[in-house]
Amino acid sequence: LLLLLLWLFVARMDLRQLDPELRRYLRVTRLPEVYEALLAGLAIMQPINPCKWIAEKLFYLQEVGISQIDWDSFIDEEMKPKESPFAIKGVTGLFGGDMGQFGKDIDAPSPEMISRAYQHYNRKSFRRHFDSWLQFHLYRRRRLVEKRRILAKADGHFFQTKVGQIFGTWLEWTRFRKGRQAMAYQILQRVLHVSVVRVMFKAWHGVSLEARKTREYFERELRRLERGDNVTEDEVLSKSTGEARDDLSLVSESLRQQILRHLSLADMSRAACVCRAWKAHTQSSELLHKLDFGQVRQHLTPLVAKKFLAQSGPMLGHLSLAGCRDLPLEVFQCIGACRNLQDVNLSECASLTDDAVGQIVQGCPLLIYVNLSFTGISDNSLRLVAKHAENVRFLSLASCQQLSDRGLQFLAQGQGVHKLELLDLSEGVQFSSDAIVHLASKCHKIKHLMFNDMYNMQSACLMEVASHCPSVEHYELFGCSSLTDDSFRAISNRSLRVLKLDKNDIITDAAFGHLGRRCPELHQLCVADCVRVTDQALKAIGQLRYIRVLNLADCVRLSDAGARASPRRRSPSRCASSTSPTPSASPTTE
Amino acid sequence: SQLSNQRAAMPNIKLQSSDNEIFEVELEIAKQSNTIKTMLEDLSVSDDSDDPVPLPNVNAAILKKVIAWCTHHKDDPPPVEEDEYKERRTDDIPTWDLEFMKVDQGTLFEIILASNYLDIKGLLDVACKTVANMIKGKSPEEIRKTFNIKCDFTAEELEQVRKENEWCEEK
Repeated sequence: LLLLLLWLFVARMDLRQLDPELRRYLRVTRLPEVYEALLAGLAIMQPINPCKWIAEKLFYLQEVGISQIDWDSFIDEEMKPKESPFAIKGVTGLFGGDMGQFGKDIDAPSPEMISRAYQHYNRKSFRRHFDSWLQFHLYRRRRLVEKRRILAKADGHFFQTKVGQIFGTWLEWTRFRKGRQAMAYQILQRVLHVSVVRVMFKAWHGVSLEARKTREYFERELRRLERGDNVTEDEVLSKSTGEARDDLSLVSESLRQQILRHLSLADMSRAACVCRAWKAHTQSSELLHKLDFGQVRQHLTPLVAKKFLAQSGPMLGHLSLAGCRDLPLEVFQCIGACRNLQDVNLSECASLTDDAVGQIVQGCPLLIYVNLSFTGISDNSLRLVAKHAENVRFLSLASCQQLSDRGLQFLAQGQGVHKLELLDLSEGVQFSSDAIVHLASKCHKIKHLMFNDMYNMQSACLMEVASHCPSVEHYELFGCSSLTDDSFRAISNRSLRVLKLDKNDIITDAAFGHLGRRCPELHQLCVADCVRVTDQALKAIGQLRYIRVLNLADCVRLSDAGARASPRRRSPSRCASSTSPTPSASPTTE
Repeated sequence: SQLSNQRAAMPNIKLQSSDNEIFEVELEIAKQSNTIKTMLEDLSVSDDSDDPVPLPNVNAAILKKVIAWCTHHKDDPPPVEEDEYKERRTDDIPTWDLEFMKVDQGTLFEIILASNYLDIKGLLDVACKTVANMIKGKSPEEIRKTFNIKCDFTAEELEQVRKENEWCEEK
């Protein structure tokens, strides 16, 4: 029994390590309960013959089955203890409650199994988790990459859009700036121009003010020196204004000059002696502009002429030395110093030489009017005039006997010859037709032609001249006795205004016919001493409406009847017969 | 008769002198004064306007003289441009004008001032020539007498001036 117990104990101890098949068998058969009930009956009943008791009990069991078995089933009622005798420590569990526990835990896994199961489970779950984590990780990574790509794309797009916007704005701004710059440039340029002009004007203004001051100062000094006293201008003025109460001193400066300019130099000199105020009046620069020595030629000395010329200096514009026969070269040199001289009349200056002409034309580049008539100048003078005096428009060479064809040739070669408006070749009988025609062919603008006293001038020559110079308004042909009606036909045109001739025995009424038909503008006609002119001529020119001066002196064949019949008198016209240029002419017709 | 008809048709204009006297003259005569002409053109005064043209610088006596001169010269051709190259003459004054200018010196200068103000070139020219003729050919002493001037040169100055200008005296 003890062995059995020990075995049971051991068996119980090793129950968990038992084979599962065995453990199930034990449970189904309820062998441990059977053993516990037998053991407890034996322990309590203590039969004399245990084997017989056990057999009895086993037969009983065979009858009722093992399902009703309990630990005290084999104990008599009166002897049943409250507790199983094996409820002692270590043994109780073997058959009592522990057996139930034992039976129940028969399927429970062993720790190895658990650990294996745990390990297995662990590994499996680890793998699953790892897989899903890996998946998740990869997924996250993919998303991250995708996100980055999208972000990069968005960034790029955003950047491009921004750049586009900025560039557009910038472009617009640049255009705007450019426009503004262009405008600003224009404004600046205009401002610059204005400023430059202003600066220039200021500078010029300053210079001219300075020049004026200087001029006034020198004029004042000059006047003071000429008075020969040391009193200052103010004192003189106060003195003179205090006493000059005469009418001439009280009118304005310009009116006074209008009066005084009618006086000759001699009268001016006498007027200068009247009083201080009058001395000042006679020395105004306006009056120094024009010097006419011709009126005072009998009194003029070289010294006086030089003094006046020096006084006028650059203010001198007009100078006449007409008839001053014996002036020395120094006087002409003084003229050369008057650089603003425009008009010089040297008519009848017998002492005029080529040198003197050279001095004058070189010193006075502005000369417009040059009168060299009745002088002894030679061709060389004309060479100098043509070379230096390029602005000459009025040139008189009347009665210069020393001139020849060569002189006219020099003139025709000059730079300024085309500017000529007036040419006087009177008494130039020595000139050949060819030379005159050649000169005329260069003077397209000429308006006044004087060929007085050229008795040898042929009609052909005048006709050629007229063909070269269609705009001549004024012909003077006094004493050209060789001209025929044909030449008058040639010079008759719309521009002709003044025609003068006399002493021509050839022309007939036919010439007047040409004039009457072709010269509607004619307003001055002088045909004196032409014996073949008859009343028919008056009739022919009767249709000329603008005739103001008509001189028919010594045309002996005109009659009162013709004069009465022909020109319709208009109020402003003057028909005269006695104003003939020749002193011998006598009034015959009116 | 045609002429007189034209005259009659010619409009008149009223001129008012500085002392408020009113003169009625033909328009064509008044228009010899460039000042009046410009005034009328600029103001574009209608012909039938009755307002007188005020001339505050001319008194009645002088205006009367001026109108007389203009009336006499109304048919003159327009004055030609003055030629700088032409010799100036003072002996070409017409006889009527010579008579007209026979007035005292004060009046003569007043005519000059008036013609200058009214811008009548012909009258101014004639008056200036008349004054110039009063100076021409006279000795300084005679000029002083004519214009009532006192010689204010000192003895030395007079000597100096005489010496300077003696060139024209010798004959």
